[in-house]
Amino acid sequence: MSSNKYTGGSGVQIMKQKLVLKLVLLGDPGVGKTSLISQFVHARFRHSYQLTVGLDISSKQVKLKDGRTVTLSINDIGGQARFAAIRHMFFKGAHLAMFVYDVTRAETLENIMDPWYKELMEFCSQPDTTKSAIKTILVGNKSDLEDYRMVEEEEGNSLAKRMGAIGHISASAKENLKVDDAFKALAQSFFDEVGK
Amino acid sequence: MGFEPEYDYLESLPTYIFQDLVERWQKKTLELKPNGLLSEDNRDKVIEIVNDLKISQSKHLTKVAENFDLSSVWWQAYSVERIKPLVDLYNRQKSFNVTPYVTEEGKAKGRITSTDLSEQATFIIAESSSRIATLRKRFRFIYFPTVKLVLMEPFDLCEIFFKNEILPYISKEDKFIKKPIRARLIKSFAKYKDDPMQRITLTDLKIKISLETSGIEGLNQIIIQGDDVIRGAETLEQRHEISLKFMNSGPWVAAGTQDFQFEVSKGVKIHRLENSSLKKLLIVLSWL
Ligand SMILES: Nc1nc2c(ncn2[C@@H]2O[C@H](COP(=O)(O)OP(=O)(O)OP(=O)(O)O)[C@@H](O)[C@H]2O)c(=O)[nH]1
Ligand SMILES: [Mg+2]
Repeated sequence: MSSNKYTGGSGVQIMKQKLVLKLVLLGDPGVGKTSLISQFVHARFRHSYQLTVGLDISSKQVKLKDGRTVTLSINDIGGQARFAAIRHMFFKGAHLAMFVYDVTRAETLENIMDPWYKELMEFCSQPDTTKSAIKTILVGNKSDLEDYRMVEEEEGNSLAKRMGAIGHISASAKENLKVDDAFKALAQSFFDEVGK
Repeated sequence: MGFEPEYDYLESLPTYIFQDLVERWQKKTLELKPNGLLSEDNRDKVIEIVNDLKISQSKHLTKVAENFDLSSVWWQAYSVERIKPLVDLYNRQKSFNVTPYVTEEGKAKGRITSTDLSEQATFIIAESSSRIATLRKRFRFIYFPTVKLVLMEPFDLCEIFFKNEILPYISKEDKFIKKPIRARLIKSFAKYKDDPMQRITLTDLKIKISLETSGIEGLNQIIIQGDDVIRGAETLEQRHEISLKFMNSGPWVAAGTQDFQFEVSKGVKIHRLENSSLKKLLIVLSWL
């Protein structure tokens, strides 16, 4: 019954109402992964930093361009080095990945390729998913701190290209700038290429 | 006009070294051989005159710096467009009416004074003098025509004086735009060393590591100081197995040399008014 059935990328077939995509957020400690999720899911922002221990999962429904709804299972992975040994366990089965860096700290962009991208590519594979089928996006967070920006927009663009990401977005979890855009563009991209 | 001639000595100074030299030569007040100012025969004499002028210029700078305490100001940078030749500023009427700019009642007289600091920097003072203490104000400006920038003191009235009494004489536009000091500028400043001749040696670097930018609690900033902090940090890292990750862990918010300092959200500070330091300052300002 094709009307009840959706075909996502990577040949994943998902029944209606059960269209769930696994999204992982990756990036250095303190870049604002938890803050982006909190803004996107709960429209909230907190100033104090509470590091994510291991993993937090939340979910949110996103409307696609064609009116369909998809549920994102959002995996917030703690960026602290002490979780490095276990975090790859959470990459398994991911359909989408959001790489986050902090525009005021150059090293957080440098670390995207290695370790974050490298680790994801190493561990994300699952039987019915090829690595290249994972859709990724690069997000430069804290764009509200324009005076403190150390990374040029262009540097992010070129890294996004090298990673084969669908794009690079400057966002601010604090000011709620481009946060929804980033999540929605990523979810949408999963369906764009393969068509229906 | 009854002004105390406090700054009169400023105006007697040459616009810049060579202009003065050429003028003197044209007026034939210099004892030079007739076959051209820069001819071989005149070489020694010209060098002597130029050196004298340089000495008088540097005395002039020292005097200006001492008199106006310029090193205490956190200068704010503004850009101006479509600039006019400086003669308009030098020829403007010195006095102006202060009344439209102040709310206080009372008599006040305004005066604009300008003088060259170097070929590329002009120092301007807008001052109102009055018997009433609150109407006695003095604002300082440094204008760099080659990079179309003005540094001014961080007061509202300073901007107002500038817009009405100075801008019309230096620019064909009535707009001027604030140029904030940003971390990217600090970075280019700190990393500016490709050309060893022009290298600007940093003696101070301030790195912000606050909760807001890095999510780290308990530290706000790291300050490194030395004769040449960038080189120092690099050598330390090469020679010893040490991680200087802090160099990359936050935005660089301030960088300084012995001559001047730039700081995000504060502005520019000029410690030394010398030809060589003004030249280096101009390089950094040109990136704004
Ligand atoms: N100014 C500003 N601060 C932000 C923004 N996003 C996050 N922050 C602050 O950055 C700090 C870290 O944010 P988190 O969201 O906890 O960072 P994280 O990436 O989840 O960190 P880990 O869980 O340790 O991996 C907090 O103090 C936030 O308030 C932003 O867009 N602008
Ligand atoms: Mg977190």
